[in-house]
Amino acid sequence: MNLPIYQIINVKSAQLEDLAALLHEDLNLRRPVAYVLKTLNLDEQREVIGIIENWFETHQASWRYPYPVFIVSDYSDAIGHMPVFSEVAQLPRFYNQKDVKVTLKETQVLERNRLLQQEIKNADGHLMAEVVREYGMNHKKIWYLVKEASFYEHLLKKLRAKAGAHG
Amino acid sequence: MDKKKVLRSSSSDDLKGFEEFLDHVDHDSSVDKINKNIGGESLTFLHHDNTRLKKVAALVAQKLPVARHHEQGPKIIEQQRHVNAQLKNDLFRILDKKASPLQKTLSGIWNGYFSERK
Repeated sequence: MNLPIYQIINVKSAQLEDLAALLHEDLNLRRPVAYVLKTLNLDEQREVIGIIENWFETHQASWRYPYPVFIVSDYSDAIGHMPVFSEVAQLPRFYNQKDVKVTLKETQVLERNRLLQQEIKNADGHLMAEVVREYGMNHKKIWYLVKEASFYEHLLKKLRAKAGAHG
Repeated sequence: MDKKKVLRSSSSDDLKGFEEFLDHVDHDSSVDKINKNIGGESLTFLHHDNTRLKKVAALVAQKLPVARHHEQGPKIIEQQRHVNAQLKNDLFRILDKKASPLQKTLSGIWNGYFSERK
């Protein structure tokens, strides 16, 4: 059993068949994954980012859970939904751990984590993402409405204070 | 106490001339690999990952299904819109009075610019 540290995949070809071999259902089940596209030219990199995003969309798989999937590309500005970084060194540091020999105690924690990983994997990632998006949008609307109400209340308070002073 | 550990922590200047005798330089990387893990760095990392996984599992298995079936957002939005409409009404009622600061300011501007010049 290994620690859940980055699995760096160097993509050397933009051919669909070659990419299909790099994408599979349990890709991010046990550890985070980073696709490094730096060896490809810019057009190919954009194409591959599209293919990877599409793959997750069509296979009803989530690139967020249980572990995130990242792309390292010269297209550092996100062109889709997946997080894109310009360098491997910029990837989140949390998973940047030393690959050490696992002790017995660590194996026990890893075993517990395996159950949780499977539980997360079994959830419908796309549906959950949609629920989170909807929830977020509603709360953003509420925030704007409350801000508007606060502005009206502030005006009313000032007007009443002024009327009280004159009356 | 482990003799090798004590020697490894001391500076190399202090041990000049004793290198052959003590053979304190450790070139075995596999030993290093295990030693680096003695501090429990990986165990802490795994515990943090366990906490993260537990939170994500609770989110997707408990919280999101509840949020999906009992979404309160639209109801709160409707209530807040009603509150805002009420506040706007109050505001317009006050501003619509002849003695309101808005009316006074407007009449001041109006009279100032459009009154007949003597």
